[in-house]
Amino acid sequence: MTEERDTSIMLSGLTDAGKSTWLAALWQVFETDGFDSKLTLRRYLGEQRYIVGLNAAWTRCERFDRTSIKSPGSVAVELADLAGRHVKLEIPDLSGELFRDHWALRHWDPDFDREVKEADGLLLMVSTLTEGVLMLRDALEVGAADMEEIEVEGGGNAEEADEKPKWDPRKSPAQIKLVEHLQFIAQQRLEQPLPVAVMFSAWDQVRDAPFEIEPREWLRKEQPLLDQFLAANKEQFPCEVFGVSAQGGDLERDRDRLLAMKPIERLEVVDGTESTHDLTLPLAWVVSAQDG
Amino acid sequence: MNSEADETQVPPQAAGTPDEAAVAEPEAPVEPEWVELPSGEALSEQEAEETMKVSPTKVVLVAGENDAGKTSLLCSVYEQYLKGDFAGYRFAGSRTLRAFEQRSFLQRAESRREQPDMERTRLPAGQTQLLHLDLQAKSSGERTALLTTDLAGEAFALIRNNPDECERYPIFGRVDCVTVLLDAERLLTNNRHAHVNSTRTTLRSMLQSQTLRPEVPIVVAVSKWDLVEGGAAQSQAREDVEAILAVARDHSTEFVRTAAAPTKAGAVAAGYGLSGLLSFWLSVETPAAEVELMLEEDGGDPPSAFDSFQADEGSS
Repeated sequence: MTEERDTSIMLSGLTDAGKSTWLAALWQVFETDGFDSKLTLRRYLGEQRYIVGLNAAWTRCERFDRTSIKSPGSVAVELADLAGRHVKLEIPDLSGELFRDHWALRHWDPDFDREVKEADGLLLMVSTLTEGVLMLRDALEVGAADMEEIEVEGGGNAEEADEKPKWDPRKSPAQIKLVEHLQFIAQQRLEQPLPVAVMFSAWDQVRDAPFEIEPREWLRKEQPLLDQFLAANKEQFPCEVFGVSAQGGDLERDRDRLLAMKPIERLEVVDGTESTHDLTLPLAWVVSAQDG
Repeated sequence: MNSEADETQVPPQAAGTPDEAAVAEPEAPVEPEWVELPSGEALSEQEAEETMKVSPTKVVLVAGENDAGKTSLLCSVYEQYLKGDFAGYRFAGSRTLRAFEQRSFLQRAESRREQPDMERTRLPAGQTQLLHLDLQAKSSGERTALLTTDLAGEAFALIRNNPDECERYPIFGRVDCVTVLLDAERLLTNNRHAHVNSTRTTLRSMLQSQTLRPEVPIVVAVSKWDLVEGGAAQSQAREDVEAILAVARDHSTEFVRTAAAPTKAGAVAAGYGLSGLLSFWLSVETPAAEVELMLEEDGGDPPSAFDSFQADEGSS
């Protein structure tokens, strides 16, 4: 008899981390006949117009139209793993709106709170293109001489220099917001463990960089506070790190190349040094992490 | 540039039937029901005590005059962890992440100021706020909470004039290490002796108040050390530190040179001395039995009044 279980996976991340793109690309895995993935689709639960619309835009290499593709708020599918177990996957908070300002506002939606408390796993989407992270790193490495240069470049006069800028929490570095997000989750779950798959989006952009780096190393170098937090709290947040390319390239620069490719080949998940088109890999890891 | 598409928007709330929508107030504010999350602000004494109950905790009292660099020092320790593990410890969490961010943003290059500057801590006398870092030793995996006071310089001015002021701060009885900041920049000015005397008087006042544990270790940390490093003022600064520590003969003492955010190019690296200072803070012993006793005490005998000890700032 086939084992069935309900598994609620949260997909979370800062605004523009690439959550909707990932979902559109995930649908491509299910739409590709004969593709050997860790998880396969058994059935869609509820209205699937939204995800079909996302996938259609994705295959045409179009940016998602914020007004024409209305988020249903959450997506639920029933999947099967390689052992034949059925997994019900619910992904709430597709909009990113619920996540947006937790750091600044210090509260969140009761529905989101419920999802946090009931979740069995977390897919944490983190952009590799977050300007704030690189700015932070650069800022911290700025020495006294560099500070002077910046002042000149800024062109501010003495009067402006005396004006103290007002702190805007929305501009805080991404890694700080993400750590606080996990601290909020830990508190609301009363320390109940939650497996976390960190997915660095736009990994193709990292791959194009003039250096080789694995996702785990990227976490250590680019999000060091998040890296330390996850290492120190590995019992609370068992963690695996993936690089995910859900577009396959830049939509403007690489559009012709992407349109010419088989859609499934646009996808890439990097786990350590291994690479695959199987976008279900992080999901499968989260599902299996519950087995301990 | 971003190859990952933007997020889609949340659809507007269902407005009900057209008729219902027509009669509804168009701009009627809907009070959302939120789940409140921790503020992330600096902790009160009571909140700090809750932290002490759940994990081994070191409490550090950071003392000094206005602009001596107290907040700057604390933020600089925090900022080391934004770059990676530090002093053999990794960042395991913080209940005051927002407070750290708010305090330290002026230090960052984004502020585009020629010299890093800090918002001055403003607090009513008697009110304590503490910053929290949860740190994990890389070698053993043991976790330690570090609570550092972030008191206004004015609080220490009052303490300097009257040791009884210390009684306003029950947390003093739980302090594992007192760290007094001496501002190297002021040691280079005509205010040098006044600054040294003032700092020395503050320390003596705190020690004589009997609100601190008798054996609490004392650290004098000279901030902005980059300004005196390698110059003639370096040996003078050492003499100044010895003069201050002379009032703490019954305590174990340390002298630490720090430069949280150096302004003199090439003198010392940013964060100079912080590793040693942090290691010291985390290594001081907390007598568990005494801690319990102190937390349960309801005041006991009041400390002696030092009526004759009304030294004004700058007097010798």
